Amino acid sequence: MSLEIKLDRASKFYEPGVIIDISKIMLQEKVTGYITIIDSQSQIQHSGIVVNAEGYMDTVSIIRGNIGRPPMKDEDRIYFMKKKFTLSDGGKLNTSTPIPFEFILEANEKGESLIDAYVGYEVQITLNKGGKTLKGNEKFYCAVPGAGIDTTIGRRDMPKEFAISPDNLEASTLKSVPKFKFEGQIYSVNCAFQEPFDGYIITRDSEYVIKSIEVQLVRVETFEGKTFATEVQNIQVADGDVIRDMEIPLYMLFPKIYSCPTVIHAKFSVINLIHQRLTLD
Amino acid sequence: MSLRLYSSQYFYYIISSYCYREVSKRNYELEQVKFQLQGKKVREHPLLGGGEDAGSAPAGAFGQQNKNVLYLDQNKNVEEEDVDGDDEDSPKKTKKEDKNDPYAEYMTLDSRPTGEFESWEAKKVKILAVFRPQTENQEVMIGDNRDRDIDRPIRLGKGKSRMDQLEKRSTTTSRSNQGTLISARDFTQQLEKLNREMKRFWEKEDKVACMRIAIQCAKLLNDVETPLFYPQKFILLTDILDNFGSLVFGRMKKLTKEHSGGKIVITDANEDQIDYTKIPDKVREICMNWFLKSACIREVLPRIYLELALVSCHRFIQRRVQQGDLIRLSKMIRGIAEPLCATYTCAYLARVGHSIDPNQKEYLMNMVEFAYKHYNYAIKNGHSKLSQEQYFSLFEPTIDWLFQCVGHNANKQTFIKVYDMYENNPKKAIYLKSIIRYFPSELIASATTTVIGAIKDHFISEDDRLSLIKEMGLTLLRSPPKKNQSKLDFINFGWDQFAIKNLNQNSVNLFIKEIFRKFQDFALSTTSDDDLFKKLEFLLVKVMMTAQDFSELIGFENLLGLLNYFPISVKNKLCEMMLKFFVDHHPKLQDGFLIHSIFQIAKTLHDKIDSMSSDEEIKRISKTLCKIIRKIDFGKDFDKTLIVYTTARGLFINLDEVTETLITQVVSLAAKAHFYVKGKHSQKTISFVKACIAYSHITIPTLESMDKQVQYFMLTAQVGLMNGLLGETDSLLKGVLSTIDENFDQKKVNQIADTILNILGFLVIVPSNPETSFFQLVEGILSLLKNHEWGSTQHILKTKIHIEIEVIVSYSVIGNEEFKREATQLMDYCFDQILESIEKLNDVKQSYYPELFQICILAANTLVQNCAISKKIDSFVNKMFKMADGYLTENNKVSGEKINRNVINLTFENFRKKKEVFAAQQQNQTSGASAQQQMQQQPPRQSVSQQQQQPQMQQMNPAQQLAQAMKQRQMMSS
Repeated sequence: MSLEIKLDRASKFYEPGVIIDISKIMLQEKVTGYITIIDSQSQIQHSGIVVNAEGYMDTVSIIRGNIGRPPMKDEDRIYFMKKKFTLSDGGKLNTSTPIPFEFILEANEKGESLIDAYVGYEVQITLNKGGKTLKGNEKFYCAVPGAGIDTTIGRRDMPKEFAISPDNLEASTLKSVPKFKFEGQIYSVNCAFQEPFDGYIITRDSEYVIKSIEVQLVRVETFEGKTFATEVQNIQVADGDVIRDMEIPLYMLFPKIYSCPTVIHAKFSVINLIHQRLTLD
Repeated sequence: MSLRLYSSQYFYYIISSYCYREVSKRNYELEQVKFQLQGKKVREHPLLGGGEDAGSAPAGAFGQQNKNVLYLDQNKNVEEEDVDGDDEDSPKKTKKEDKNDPYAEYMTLDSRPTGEFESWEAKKVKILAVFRPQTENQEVMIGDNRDRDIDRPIRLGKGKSRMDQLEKRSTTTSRSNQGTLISARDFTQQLEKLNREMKRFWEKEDKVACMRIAIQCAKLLNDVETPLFYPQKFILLTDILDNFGSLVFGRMKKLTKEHSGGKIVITDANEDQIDYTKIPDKVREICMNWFLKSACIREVLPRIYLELALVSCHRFIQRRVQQGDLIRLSKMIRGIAEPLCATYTCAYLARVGHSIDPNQKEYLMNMVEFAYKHYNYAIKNGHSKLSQEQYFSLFEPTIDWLFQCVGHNANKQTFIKVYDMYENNPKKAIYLKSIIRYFPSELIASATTTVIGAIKDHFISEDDRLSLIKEMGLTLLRSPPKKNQSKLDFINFGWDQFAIKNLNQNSVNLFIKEIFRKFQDFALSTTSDDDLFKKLEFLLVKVMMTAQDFSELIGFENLLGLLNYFPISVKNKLCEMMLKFFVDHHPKLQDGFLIHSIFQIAKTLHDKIDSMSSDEEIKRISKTLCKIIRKIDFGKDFDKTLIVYTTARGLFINLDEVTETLITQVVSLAAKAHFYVKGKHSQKTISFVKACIAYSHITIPTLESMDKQVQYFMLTAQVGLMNGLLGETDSLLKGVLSTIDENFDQKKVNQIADTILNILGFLVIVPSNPETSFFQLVEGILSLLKNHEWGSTQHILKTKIHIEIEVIVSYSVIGNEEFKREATQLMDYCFDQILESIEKLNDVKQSYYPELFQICILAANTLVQNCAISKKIDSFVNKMFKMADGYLTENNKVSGEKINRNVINLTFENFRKKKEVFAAQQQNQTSGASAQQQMQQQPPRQSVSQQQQQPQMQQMNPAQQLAQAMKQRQMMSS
C-alpha cells in the first residue's frame, strides 16, 4: 500500500498571493492536488488523513549531498509556512478514486514571508490506518513575485562599468604581473530573475594570449555567521585569443532551479555574485 | 561584483508601463510575410555517387536543359564558375548523348545565376563538391581536449559520451598527442549514424540524450585539427543541429495541439499566421526550459550553436528573435577566437537569421566586419599545415554565404558600407566577386565605373580579373547600366583584358556590333590565341542561340568578316552551326540581304568540302544547304526566286544534292507558273518558264550521276511540255538520249531500257518537234539501240523498244502525208529489227526459247492490237503465232519451266475477233455507203497498214527477202 501525492500543476511552481492594490486584496494562490492510494484492495479503511504543508529554510542541498551540513532539526528550522489540516477523519475510501486537497500558499508564521525556494517547499500527507501511518511527500516550488527587490532600488537598472587591469587586482599571486586591460559594462546589477544578465566586455590590450573569458555566477549563503560560496554556473564568453577592441557580450540566463533571487533574512541570507574570470596563457 | 537578483512577475508586467523600458511589440505583418527559398533540384551529387553522364532531363531542340539543373564537374578543383568564359542568357546544357556530335562541347556551358537567393541546399552541394575531393582519402584528427564541462549539467544522461564511442569505433586507432585519427569517410559515416541515433533517441522520448548529442556536435565544431575537413564537418554537423532544432520544434507544435485541446494546430502552412500569444502557458514553459538548458552550456561555441538550432522555437516563448537577439548573437560570436570556427558560426547565424527575417542587416554587418578581421588574420598568418591558398579557400564558403545574406535585397547604404569595408581591408577577389554577385544588380550597375576601377586596380592575376569581369557581366545582364558610358567603360575594360564576357543580348544590338567591331580591331593586332578563339566561339554560339532576331544578327557586316579570323576548322564548325540553327528557327527567307549573308556563310561551308571530306559530312552540309534553299520563298515573285537560285547554283556547284534541289525548285517554279496562269501563258510568263527550263537544261549535265541526269531531264521535259515548250522538250529529250549514249553501261541495260520505254511513253503525246523530222527522237533511240551492245537480254529489250515505237507510231493521230510516211518507215524498220532478233536467236535456239517465245508473242500482240487487219499483217501474225507455238512446245519438251499457252491463246482470240470485225467491215465496205465512213473511222490504221503492205511488197530489199526466206525455211525444218 502506498500513497501518492500529485499536484495539479505539472511544473510545480506556485506563486503566493500578492497585494496588488492599496485596498489589500490578495490573490490567493492555492496549491491543489490529489492523493491517490495504491493498494491491491479496492477499498480500505482508514482512520484519518492529515495534510501537512511546510515551507522552511534548510541547510541541506541535494546537490551537495553529504558534503553539506546535515539537515537541521525540526525545531531549528526557520519556518515560513506551516499548515496542518485534516482532510478526512476516517472511514472508507476507494483506492481508485483520488482524493483532492488544497491549501493556500501563504506565509502563516509570524513575521515571516515566503521566499523563493530552490530546493522546495514540501507537502507531506499522512494517512493513518489503524495503527499504521502512510506517508507521502511531495515537493513544490514557490516563486514569490517581487522577492528580492531592494525597496530602495526597486526595479531600476543600475549599470556599472568596470575595468580590469593590473591596478585593479586585489592580490596577485604572480611576481610579475602581465600587462592587460579590459573594459566593460554591466547593463544593470539589479537584474530581474527571469531576465538575462547582460553586459559587454572589451579587450583593449593583453600582453599574454588570452585563453578564455568567463562569467561566473556565485551564490553566497550566510547562516549562523558562516559564509559559503558556491558556483552556480560558469559561462564562457570568449574562447581563445579574441580580437582586440571588439565588444563581446556578457549574456547569461539565470538557471531556474539552481539559483534564486537574493534573500536577506534575519537569520540567513543568500546573495549572488558575478565573477569575471580571465585566463591568460 | 555583487548582484541583486529579484524575481519579477506580476509587478514587472504591470508596472512596465511606467518604466522607460518598453516591451517590444510583435510585428505581425512582418511575421506574416512569407519568404520563398528557392530549392534547386540536383541531378548529380557527390554524395549520391552519380557519374558524369548521370541524368539528363529531356533536352530541348538544341540540347537545352532545364535551367535549374546544376551540372557539377567533379574534376575541377576550383569553384564551378571559373570554367568557360562566356555567359549569356541561355540555360544550361548537358552533354548530348551522341559523342560524335561536333557541337557537344557547346552544350556544357554554365548557367548564370539569377538574382534570386541561392538556398543553403544548393550551396551545400557546391561546397561539398569543392572540398570533398580534397579530403577524400585523408585522415581527420579529432581533438582530444575534452573539458570538464562536457557533460556537466547534463551528465545525468546514460551512456558514454559520443567521443568515447567514436574513438572506440575508429578504424585506425592511432593515438597521438593531439587526438585520434580517423578517416574522413569513416567520420562522415559516424556523423550520419549520429544523426540517425538522435532520431531514435527522440522517438524513445529520451530528450536528454538528444540534447547531449546536439551539444556534442556543436563541440565537435570547435575542433579545427584538420582544417581541410572543416567545411564538410560543418555541413554534416549543422545538418544534425538543424535536425535537432526541427525535432524540438515539432515537439512544440505537438504540445501546442495537446495543451490547447486540439484547437491550435500548427502546420507548415499556417506557421507564420498563427497567433502565438495564444500558446498555452505550459508549452511556453517547456520551451523556455529548452532555452535555459542551452543557455547554461559553458562553452561559447556550442552555446551559440544550440541557441541557433533552437531559434525556430523562439516564437513559442512569445519573443520573436528580435534585432536585439540577432545582434547579440552576432556579437557573441566575437568571443570565438579561432578564425575558421568563428567564420563558420557567422555563416550559420546568417543562415538562421535569414530564415527568420531576411531583411535585417545590422547583425550581418557586424558579422561581416568581424569576419573581415578573421580573414585578414588568416591571410596574414596562414596556417601551419596548409598553404595560404588552400587555407583561404576554406573560408570562401563563409564569405560567399555571408555576402549573399547581406547583399540580398540590400539598400544603398548597406552597399556603401560593405563596399567601404571591402576597400579598407586586404583585397581578395572573392570579396568583390561576392559583392558583385549578391547585391542587387541595380546597385552594382549604378556603380559600374567604380567597380571596374576596383577590378583594374586591385587585382593583377588574370584569373581573378576574369572571374570578376564575368561576375560583373552577369550582374549587368540582369540590370543593364543606364549610362552608356559605363557600358562602354566596361566593354573597353573587358577588351583590354582579353575578356569577352560581357554581352548584353536583349537591349542593344548595337552592343553586339560594337563588340564585333572591337574584336576585329583586336584580332588584327594580335596573333591568334586558341583559347581566346575558343571563347569567342562560344560567344558566337551563345549569341546565335539566344538572338531573338537571328536574321538581324546574320546581317551584321562585321560578323562575316569576323568569321574569317577564326582558324578554318572552327570557322567551318561555326558556319555550320549557324546555318543549322537558322534553318531550325526560321520559316522563310525573304530578305535579299539576309539571303546574301546566309549564302556567304554557306559558301564558306561549301568551299571546305573537298575530296577529303567524309561522306557523312558532305551529306550533312548538303542537307543543311538544301533546307536553306527550300526556305527561299518570295511568294509570287518568281523572277526573284529564279535569280536567287541562279546565284545559288553558282555558289554550290560542288554539291550534287544541292544542285538537285535547285533543279527541283526551279522546275517546280515553272510548274507553279503554269498553275498560276491556269495554263494560259502570256509573253512574260512564257519567257519566264523558258528561262526556268533553260536553267534546268544547263544545270542538269553538271550532275555526276547519269541516272539523276536522266531523271531530271525527264522531269524538266515533262514540265516543259506542260507549258507548251516543244522545242525545249525536244532538246531535253535529246539530252537524255545523248546522256545515255555517252554513258552507256552494259550492266544497267535493264534500267536504260526502262528509261527508254518511259521516254517512249512520253513521246506518245508529241513524238517530235514538227519543225524537224517527225520522229527524230525515235530515230535517236533506234540508233542507240543499234550502236551499243545491249548484252544478253538485248533482244528482248530491243524488241520491246521496237514494239513501243510501233505503238507510238500507231497512235499518231495527227499527221499529214509526210508524217504518215515517216511513221510507216519507222514501223518497217522496227519490224525488220524484230525479225533480225528472231533470226539471231534462232541460231542459238536452245537457250532462248522463252525469249523467242516472248518476242513472237509480243510482236503478234502488238500487231493485233494496234494494226488494222490486212493480208500481209494477217500472214505475218499467223507466222508469229506458229513460231511462238513451235518455240513453246520445244521449250516445254526440253526445259523445266513450262511456258504457258495462255498468252498465245488470248492473243489468238483477239486476233480472230479482229479478223471477224475486219471481215465484217470489208463486207460493209463493199456495200459502199458506209465504206467511206468506215474508212474515215479507221483511216490511220488502214492507211498505215495499206501503206505498210505496199512498202513491204515494194521495198523488200534483198536483205529482207533473204531474211524472210530463211525464216520460212527454218520454220519448215523445225
